[in-house]
Amino acid sequence: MPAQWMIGLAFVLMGGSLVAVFIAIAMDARTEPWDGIYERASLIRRRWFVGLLAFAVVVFVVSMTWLPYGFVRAAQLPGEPTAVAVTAHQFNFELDVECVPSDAPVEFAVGSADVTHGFAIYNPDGHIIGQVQAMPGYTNTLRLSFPEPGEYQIICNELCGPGHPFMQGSLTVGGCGGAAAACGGGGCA
Amino acid sequence: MTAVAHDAPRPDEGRARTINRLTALWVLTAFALLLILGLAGLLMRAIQSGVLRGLAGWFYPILTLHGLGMVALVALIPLAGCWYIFAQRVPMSTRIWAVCYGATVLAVVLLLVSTLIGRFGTGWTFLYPLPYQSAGGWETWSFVPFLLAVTIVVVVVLVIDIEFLYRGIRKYGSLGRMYGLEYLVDPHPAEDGRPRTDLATIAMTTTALTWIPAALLGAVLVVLELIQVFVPSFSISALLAKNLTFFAGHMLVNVGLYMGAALLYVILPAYTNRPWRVARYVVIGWLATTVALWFAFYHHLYQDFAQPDAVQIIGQVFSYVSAFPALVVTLLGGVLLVWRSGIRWSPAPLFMYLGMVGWAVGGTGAILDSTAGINQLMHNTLWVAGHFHGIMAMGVMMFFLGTVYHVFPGITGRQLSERIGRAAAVLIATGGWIVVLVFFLSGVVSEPRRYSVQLPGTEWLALVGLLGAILVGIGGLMIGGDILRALRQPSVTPQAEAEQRHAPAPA
Repeated sequence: MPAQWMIGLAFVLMGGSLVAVFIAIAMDARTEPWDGIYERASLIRRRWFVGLLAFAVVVFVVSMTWLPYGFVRAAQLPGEPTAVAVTAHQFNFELDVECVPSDAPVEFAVGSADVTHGFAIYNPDGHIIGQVQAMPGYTNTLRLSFPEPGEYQIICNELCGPGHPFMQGSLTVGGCGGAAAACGGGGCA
Repeated sequence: MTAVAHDAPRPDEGRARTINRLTALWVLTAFALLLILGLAGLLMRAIQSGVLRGLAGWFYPILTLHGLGMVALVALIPLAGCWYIFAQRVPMSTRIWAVCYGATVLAVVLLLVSTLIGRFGTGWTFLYPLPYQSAGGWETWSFVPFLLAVTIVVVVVLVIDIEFLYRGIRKYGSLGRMYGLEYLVDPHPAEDGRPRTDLATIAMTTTALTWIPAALLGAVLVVLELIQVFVPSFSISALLAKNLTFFAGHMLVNVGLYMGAALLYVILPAYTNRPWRVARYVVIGWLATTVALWFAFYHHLYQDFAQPDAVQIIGQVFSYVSAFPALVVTLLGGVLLVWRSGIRWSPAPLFMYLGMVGWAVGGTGAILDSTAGINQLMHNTLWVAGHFHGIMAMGVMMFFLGTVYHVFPGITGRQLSERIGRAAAVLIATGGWIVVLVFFLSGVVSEPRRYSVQLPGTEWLALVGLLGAILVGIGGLMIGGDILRALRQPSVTPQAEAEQRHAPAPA
């Protein structure tokens, strides 16, 4: 299941639970004096706070392993990466390498020649697997691994002008053949 | 008026009339703008779905009009509600408020000129240096009225916040007492002859203290941008500009949300007949909110890897922290206030309650997206539109509608139809959640936001969203029509009687 669907499922479970509480409270037609509820409220609030805090701490700690930044990705995807220099222009991407190996680290050094763009990589199933901003004056480095060979689409997802929705590119993963030299130290799958 | 604090001196009759008229003017203006800007949103979905593909060339100017207009309204509408509440408690200047109203109308005109005449189309974030490099989309001059409109909104909120702090300190004695800091020392402070703060005052104080630094840094950005308009050789760091944009922009929508909370604190107790008291945990919660707001905005820059890694993690920490006061203090407090209260679901409490649902569910989507690893997959997809429409459209705007139903009898001496109000609430909630959930689903399938043309095969999602938006529009027109109907009627209920009927329970 794509990670996005897992995120959607988490949203449905969390948001749905909250909605269920709101509906249950609104539908409860019984009446009760405020003093009694006020006394229980303190306990409810404390438990709610402690439960939320425990949940948040666990999620936070786990989420540190999901960070897309260099110090985490270098540890998760060790080895010499295939380097890809990307320059974004209104309204196209210029990549110095068009084919990269699958199941090996690839490092994109992303910059912009004009305005801020987005650099979002879509897998052949149409889901984002990684992204970074392309900002003029800066180079943002994104390290990724492509588990599956195929044609990956690159989409600009930061509003960059009237041609924004047509700013797309592509990247071949695996099967680079004669372009193996461009596939970097990892070679091509 | 309905939300008069029980310890407040009543404004004299002439001043009360001015306050009511100004508030009525704000309500009508806000309603008209909401309908116009909502129509802009509807047009965008129609373009994306292919129904109005011929207007695709107008997508980005419409996006910019809708975006900046709604962001401004999210702040200004609750500000107007809070001004009305606090004008009953402290002598807020009606003259200053009238000038603010005029300035806001001017800002609307400037925004219309910028987008509909100048075709300015950067979106409300005007990410540097896009305004100067339009690739033929617009002329640079159109950025000037846009910036002036932004400046007016920033200054209006700033002026009222400063006046609120000034009046509040004079009334309560100090900023600390406005915050209720004495509750940190003693959960039940003894009477000392001076007024004690209340929840709405604490919320408004938080918004003022967070907005003042944000406005000043926002002003720095506006000045730098204006310099470049007239001195094209001048330039600034794109990363610095983005930090300034989101420090101020994130703060603006959040102060709108927290002023909405202030309205909730005042209005919901009036219908549950239960007090919503200041307590130590409330003060701690709002202090945490104040600090969290200064740092949470970094989550907007998670995909700018040039930012230091530590800053990104700080952004996630404070994004999480900012959720606790909302969930533990305000939303849980509101739910408990309603629980088994025997509340009658007239439109005012109904909309306030729906607003809490919007805040909770939209906030859930926001917290997920504020996790940097999740943001790596969801950033700048329509998931983002889902969570902020959840919080703002289904949260803050519901608070606005609840406030309208709450104050309308008091400020006009006329009644709105409860039947129409409830029916409109059903339509708006149904349509609104269709809009929002379709955004979330679109994010799950990685649909990028701000695309005039949807990715192949996903146009149907925009079409479903369009149908939801139409339901919202019908609901909004029903309420707008009822307001106009009521205003054509003679004032059948003396204002004082209306005020008495809706007076909140003593805190």
